[in-house]
Amino acid sequence: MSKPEPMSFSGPLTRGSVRVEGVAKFFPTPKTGEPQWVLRDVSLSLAGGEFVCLLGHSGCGKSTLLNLVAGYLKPDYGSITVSGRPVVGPSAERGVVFQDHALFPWLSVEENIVFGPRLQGKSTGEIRDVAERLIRLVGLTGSEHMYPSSLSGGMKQRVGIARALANEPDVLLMDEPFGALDMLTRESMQQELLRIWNALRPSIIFVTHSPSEAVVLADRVAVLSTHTHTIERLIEIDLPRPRSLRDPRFLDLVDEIESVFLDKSLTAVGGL
Amino acid sequence: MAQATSQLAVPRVAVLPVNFHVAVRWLSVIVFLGLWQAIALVNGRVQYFNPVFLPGPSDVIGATLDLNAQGILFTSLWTSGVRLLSGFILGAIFAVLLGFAMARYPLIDSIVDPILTMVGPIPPFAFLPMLIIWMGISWPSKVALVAYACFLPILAYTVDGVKHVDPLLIRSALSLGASDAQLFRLVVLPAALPSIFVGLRVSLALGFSALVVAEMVGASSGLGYLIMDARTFFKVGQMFSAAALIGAEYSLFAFILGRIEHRLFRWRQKGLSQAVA
Repeated sequence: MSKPEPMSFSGPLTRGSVRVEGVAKFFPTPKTGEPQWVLRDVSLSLAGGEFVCLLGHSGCGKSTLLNLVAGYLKPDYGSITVSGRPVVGPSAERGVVFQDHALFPWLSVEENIVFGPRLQGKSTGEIRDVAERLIRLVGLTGSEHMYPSSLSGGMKQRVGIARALANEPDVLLMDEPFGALDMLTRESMQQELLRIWNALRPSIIFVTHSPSEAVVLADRVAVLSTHTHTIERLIEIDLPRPRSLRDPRFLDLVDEIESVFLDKSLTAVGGL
Repeated sequence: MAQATSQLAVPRVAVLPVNFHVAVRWLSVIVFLGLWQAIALVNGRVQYFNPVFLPGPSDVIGATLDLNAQGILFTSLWTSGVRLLSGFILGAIFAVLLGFAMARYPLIDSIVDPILTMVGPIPPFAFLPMLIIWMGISWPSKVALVAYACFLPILAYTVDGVKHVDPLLIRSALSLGASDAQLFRLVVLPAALPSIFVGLRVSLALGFSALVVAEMVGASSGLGYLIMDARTFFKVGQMFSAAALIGAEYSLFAFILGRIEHRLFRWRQKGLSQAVA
């Protein structure tokens, strides 16, 4: 796998860079047809290899923003470019990991993982190499031939991540991937993800509603507001990795993020 | 065995009911046949009604052996089987192809759907006289009726299956670089297959009924014809025999379809039977 070198050059044309400029999106309300804004004037850029978390309550538009970058939706205003090229639809250069993992239930673990390379018409030898390497990387050795229905939630999500990585995407888009996992599994998956990110260095946009998850993972955290439907604050997480949840600076950052909600949202305390 | 490996008493209640229910199932069949035989025998003595009307199981077996001796037992089974299978496969192929086209292209859906809404409520048997006029009483009219009877349910289930493919699966395939054709072949088809098989199962039963009716109305061979032939010569035992053969042949086809399903859908978990222990 050719690793993008995130530190060597920067700017909008870098592989894996993401540029969201002045993006707005609305959905018509079912009865009146009046536009209901989901996102308003959102701008965000990622350098290649950067890890950014989108944080906010349900309904703030964070998943919509992710779907726009993935190419499933088209923005009503503004533009989105990835690696310098405008996004016109879904593409293999942008891997997506879903909360409900969306694995193909009729394919085994291994077949799910090599689905992308197989579509690309890679040779059998290459496909076997990819499968072997990714199964080892995400720790699924021994489960290659199981079907998704017999896997635990954490294992399914490992398959989901491996499947997205098999195409060697420049950008990895993750929509609350650990949201359905129990706390212990969640914490170990966060560490796994950081390890994988370190090894392959794709840019990652990671949607979550947990401030501490965002602080554990991200280089920067974009906090979206349910009221303004835009990025309210962009917070740099200047903690060295590996990060400790007991680090006072860690707690400060979580507090800082939570205070954004306290200012802006009446439901903040209950929601967090 | 349990006592040897553990101090704890292993409850044995769970084992008993399974054997019990199996036994009841067999007993039920045996008692049913026994009662039937007994009624036929007693009636044969006391002549409460004409014994010809109700032959016992032994008479039915006799009639079956008789059919075999005449050399029409296996030819009838074979003829009906081939007609059913060709009609079923023909109807299924057209239904699945059209179903995919309708699910994929709204224009085709708009063209075909109103016609189906118009023709769909008419029982397929109503078309049999026309088919006989057009195609004669030989196999083409039978196969055509079976194909038509199978066509509608498979089409409905195919359209339903394709329309209800999980959109997340489509999204993930697109983000993995699937082209339109790949999406259809590798995601939509396998995702819709369970629904298509429900349609196949339903239409197998309908197709069998259609075949028997077609063979009873105008035919010179097949299991349905055996029943009408028996009526003509008042061979009640042969009527029962042919009816039982129809049931047996249907069960065989349903069993084969079930095995294919079982192989294809190994990835599916057992639902209800494993939900509550």
